Amino acid sequence: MIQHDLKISLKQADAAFSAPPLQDPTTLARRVQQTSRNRSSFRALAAVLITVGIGTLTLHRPSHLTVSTATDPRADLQNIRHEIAMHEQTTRDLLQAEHLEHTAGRIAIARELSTGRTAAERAASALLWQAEHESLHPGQSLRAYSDVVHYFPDTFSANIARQRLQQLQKEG
Amino acid sequence: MKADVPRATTSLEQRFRTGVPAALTEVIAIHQPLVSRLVYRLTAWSRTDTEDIVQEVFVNALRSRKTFDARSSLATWLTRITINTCCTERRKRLLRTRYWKRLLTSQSQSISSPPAADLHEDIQQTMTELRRLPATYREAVVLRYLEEMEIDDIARLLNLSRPAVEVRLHRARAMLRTALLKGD
Repeated sequence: MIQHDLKISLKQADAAFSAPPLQDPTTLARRVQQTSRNRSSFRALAAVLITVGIGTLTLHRPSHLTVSTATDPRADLQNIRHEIAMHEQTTRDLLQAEHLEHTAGRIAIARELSTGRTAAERAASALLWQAEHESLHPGQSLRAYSDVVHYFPDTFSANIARQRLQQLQKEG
Repeated sequence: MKADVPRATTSLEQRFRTGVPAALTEVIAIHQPLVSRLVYRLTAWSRTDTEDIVQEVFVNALRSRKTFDARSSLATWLTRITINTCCTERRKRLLRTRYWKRLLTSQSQSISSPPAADLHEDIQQTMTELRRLPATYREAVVLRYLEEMEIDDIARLLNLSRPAVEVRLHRARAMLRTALLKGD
């Protein structure tokens, strides 16, 4: 089919279908204006509703405080545990420092005793010094004090060792 | 379609643009035949749709009357609005088809005008094939062969390049030719 024939066929087919009757211009114009007004009103109403909706949502947005309380309880628990661990560590450090200060005093006495004495006194003093030095380990200190008392019973260091043993026994 | 407007309507265009209510009635009285005929053809000769879409065209024209400038005639401007409105209605119908297929099936049976009983068989077949064309191709065919518009004008109205319009026309012709020959 050539283009011209097609055009004629199309025109014939189009002509076979009569166009719908025209509407009254005045009525149609009134309907058009009414529809246009209705749509404008609808758009205005929708705009107001959207604005009110957004405003309401913004006003009722949760504050920072609320947000912070609404965090995960696991994270809170973790923070508390971390804080406890820090306090425990501080306590241990303080106790350690106190103990070292106490021990340093005892070592000073032992050193003083060890100078210008007899060989037995020096040996007992050395053992006592060792016991004082190793006082961080109670088992070893106990043995060292006992050795001082056992091997050098008549020395000044033995008296000190006895006092320490009594003290250790009291402390359990 | 010839997009020539009488000189007397120049002031009408200005009045319409400024929103004078009586101007709308006048515009409808002058341009309704053009719009109605084009809508009828673009909606595949559906009488039911035509009335609603014609009203929609004039509602759109009234809403966007301030965008009308004197560079083109009111007829050309209304033609563009008509084509766009028909496209929008087609998209709406596609959506409806997707979601309310059953409902639309019953509607589509009622919206297409039934061919006259005494219509020649060839004409009936041509019309059937024309309705079966994809909407974009049918649009090009209607504007070129029934509205008798130049290809450059069609390209401007459809916002396409000239070769694109030619391709659409070529494919539409090929499809019609194949379908009609098969029918023979």
